[in-house]
Amino acid sequence: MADPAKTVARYRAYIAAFNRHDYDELVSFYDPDVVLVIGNGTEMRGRQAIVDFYRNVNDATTRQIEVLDAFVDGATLAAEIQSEFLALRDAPDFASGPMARGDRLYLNSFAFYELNGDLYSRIRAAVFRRERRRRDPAP
Amino acid sequence: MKTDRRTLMAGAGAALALPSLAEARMNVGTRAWYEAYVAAFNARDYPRFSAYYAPDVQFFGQAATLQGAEAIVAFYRGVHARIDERVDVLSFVGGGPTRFMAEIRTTLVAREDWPDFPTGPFTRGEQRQSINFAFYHLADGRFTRIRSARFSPLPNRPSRG
Repeated sequence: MADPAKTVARYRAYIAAFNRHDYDELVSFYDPDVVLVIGNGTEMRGRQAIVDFYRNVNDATTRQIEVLDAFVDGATLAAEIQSEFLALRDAPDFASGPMARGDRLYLNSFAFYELNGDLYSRIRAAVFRRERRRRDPAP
Repeated sequence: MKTDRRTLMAGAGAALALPSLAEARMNVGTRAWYEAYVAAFNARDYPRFSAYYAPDVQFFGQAATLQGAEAIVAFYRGVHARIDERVDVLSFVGGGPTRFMAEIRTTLVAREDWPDFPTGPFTRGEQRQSINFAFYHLADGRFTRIRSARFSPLPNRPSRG
């Protein structure tokens, strides 16, 4: 069984790679058969499906994730994360609802990461709170 | 009164029971300790399950946001008068004595029509299930904050009436 402290440190490295949009590093954290279910019910299977999804999300928005808490018990890591999305352009089909350029969306989520060795084999996230802030009107 | 269960009086006469000695022997924040809480909840043993709450516990559920052990008990007494509720623990991730996260399945069955139920109108006999991720914070062996996030609704079973 991996050292829980190392597993949490590795998780923070995973989120840092996500925030850098470093997809090559990102996939190194996933089991080949990884399943990811995000807060709106969207389910992705396999590394490439996840990367393709996030490439598309990050084309319309910037997303920064902050790890508020993370801990490990056995082969599962639990985390509370806060995501900030900033719409770079109008995104009427955005996964969490339409966004206009300059809008910000904050999601506070609880997530379970099931581990196969060091790799994430199943990731599930549920949104606890969401807050949308419209772009500041022009002065 | 059983010797292994003490009762204290809180607020305006509401009785809150401390966990039994058997429960107290369990390590706080473990799955077994949490399962004992859920079992008391499912049994509608209000004194026993409310003994897990700090007096000023913050509760952010799917149907209500509440503060204080007495407010939570009053809320559930009202709900359980009209709805049968059962919670099942599907997975548990312990974070020591101060926090844990659980995946729970909540099953609600309406015993009567409840058109203005907070999460949507309920028809007598209807069953509604959901999977929720619940994040619990603890201090001194009691919940200080409970937050629930909806992961997935499950297919409803309509009333047979």
